Amino acid sequence: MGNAAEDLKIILKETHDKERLRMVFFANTRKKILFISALAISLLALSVISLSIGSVHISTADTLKSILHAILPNVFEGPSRPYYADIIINGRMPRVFLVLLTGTALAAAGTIMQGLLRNPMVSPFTLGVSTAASFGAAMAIVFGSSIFGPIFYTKVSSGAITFYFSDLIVILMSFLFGLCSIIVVLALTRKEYTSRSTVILAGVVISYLFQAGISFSKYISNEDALREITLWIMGGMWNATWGAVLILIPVVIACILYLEYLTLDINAMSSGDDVANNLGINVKKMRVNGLIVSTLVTSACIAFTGVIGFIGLMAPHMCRMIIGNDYRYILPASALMGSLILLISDTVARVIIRPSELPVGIIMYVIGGIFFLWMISRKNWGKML
Amino acid sequence: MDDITQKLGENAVRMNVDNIVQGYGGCPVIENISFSAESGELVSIVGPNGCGKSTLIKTLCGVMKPVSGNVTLDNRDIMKYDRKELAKTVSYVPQNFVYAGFSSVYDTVIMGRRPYMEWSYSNEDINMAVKAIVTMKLEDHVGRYVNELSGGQMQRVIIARSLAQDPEFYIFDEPTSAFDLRNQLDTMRIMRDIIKKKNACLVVALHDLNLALNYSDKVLVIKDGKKYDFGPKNEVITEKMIKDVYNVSAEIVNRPRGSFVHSFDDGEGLMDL
Repeated sequence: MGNAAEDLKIILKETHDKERLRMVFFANTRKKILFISALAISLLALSVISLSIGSVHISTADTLKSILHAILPNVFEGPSRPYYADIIINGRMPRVFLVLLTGTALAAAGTIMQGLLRNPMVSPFTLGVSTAASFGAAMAIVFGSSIFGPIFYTKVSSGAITFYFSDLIVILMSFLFGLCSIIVVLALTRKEYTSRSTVILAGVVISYLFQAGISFSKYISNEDALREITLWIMGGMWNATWGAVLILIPVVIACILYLEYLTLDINAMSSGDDVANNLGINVKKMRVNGLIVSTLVTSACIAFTGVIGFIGLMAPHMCRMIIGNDYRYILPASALMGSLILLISDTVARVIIRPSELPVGIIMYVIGGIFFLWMISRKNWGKML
Repeated sequence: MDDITQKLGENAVRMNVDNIVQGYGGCPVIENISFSAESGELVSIVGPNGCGKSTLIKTLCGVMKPVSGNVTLDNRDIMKYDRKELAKTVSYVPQNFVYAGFSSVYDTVIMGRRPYMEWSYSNEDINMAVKAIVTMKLEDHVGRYVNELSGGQMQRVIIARSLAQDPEFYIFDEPTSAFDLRNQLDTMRIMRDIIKKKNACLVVALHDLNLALNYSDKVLVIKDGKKYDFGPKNEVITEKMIKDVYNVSAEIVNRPRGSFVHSFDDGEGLMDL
């Protein structure tokens, strides 16, 4: 009798435990979705605020009216002064879009690289992909016209939007050189004795190599090109045009969707290649594909913005601290977080020394550098290097 | 499970390993190893350090492709399974579980359901994961990051992952090496119960002869990459085997509650100091 009561007690306790654990699971999922929604809403709000800030201050109401009027001219009336619409739509909006796309791309690429290489310190910047890609872009800018001749300046206009052939060449070149650095990283990680820090060191060295290349292209370029390249290397949003944005949107969306499709398998990678293999995942193929797509999305954006560091490192870790490490949720969350960080930094960069503006790359170097140092000094993370 | 038992009969051979040769870069590590496991059997693989236990284990679960020979599961070559199918059939627990990442215990355990799911976890996936967590006594750690846990707790997480995977064949590589005494016994007992209930097989590399002696049905002894002996535990784990394979003098002590290996220092194998 006593035995049966004991058994019942154990069964009850186990049932209770299981029910509690199930609840924990669902609560966690809700929390993740809530966090992502909150990020999306704040990003939307901040974009509108960022659009209204500038040398001409436009009220938020007028900003919203300009956007809505441009989308549905029959339903919504225009802003209080007609030229506001032009400032918002053709002046500021491409820039905000470029910021959002770049933030998304860099943060997503960083997240995926960290998962695929099982290394919390990697990102497009720390692996040298950013520098390599910007070297490729610089080469295209300096030598493009002499190689391709007049075709390089071909443009196709439709309405206010102009596509430049040179944009495509620049993206292609930056992707090709970005690939060079990722191939070195892949070759290194094939070897079993390569530690996590070695990969980061290799990234730093790759950056130096391509930095030398950039310096060389600066040295041989003429006065005008010199200033352009120097400014561009610092990382900024001056090249924002609707043409560039409309090229980037499909690239970024396609890449993010593909990476999101990989996330479940990346979850399984965290316990090691052999375990992932055992769970039915083709690890080698996935690693190569994932890294190439991450490189593509990074270099496409970098081709327009120049080197912007540390976003791919900061955004995923900030999200991880809040919602854990399920890559299905981390990827969208950190993409939004990356956009948010970059949008805030860019808005600050625009207003901090008004009427002039600062390259956002400089701000990101400072914030990101401090974040990186703080991160590696923490016990749990430092231990893993 | 019942249909498999019906199809194959009570003591059917479910796993057959035939003349496996395996090595890295042309240099063979294990040579011509054959053994088989019947349904509901626990087979231990024992042998000195570096004798090729881990390599054999990796070959058995399909992580490494054998140089020659083959592994058949339920009369089907392991290389003929497709990835997803194999993942539902065989589960592998590595020896040194290097954990890098920031997933919680929950996320890691539920990863074992990966072969069964397309995009999101079904109710059954969650139930299996919860069951595995409770079985491995990890209820109090579900929210913690795996890399914050102790070695033994980490090992329990990875075994729980394997339980959630719900396979027919469990292939474990020294699963108890970081466990305390209680957990060693508990884990071996739980695993034995599970495979008996499911008519599954467990092939486990062990360095502790006492565990092999008390929990396994059959024992495979490997010496220098070659099979030394394979058979029922009491016939294989003998004083002669321990002397031959480990170069250690020992005595098998049989007690009513179980047997144990009493090894003692006979001064052999020592160098002049």
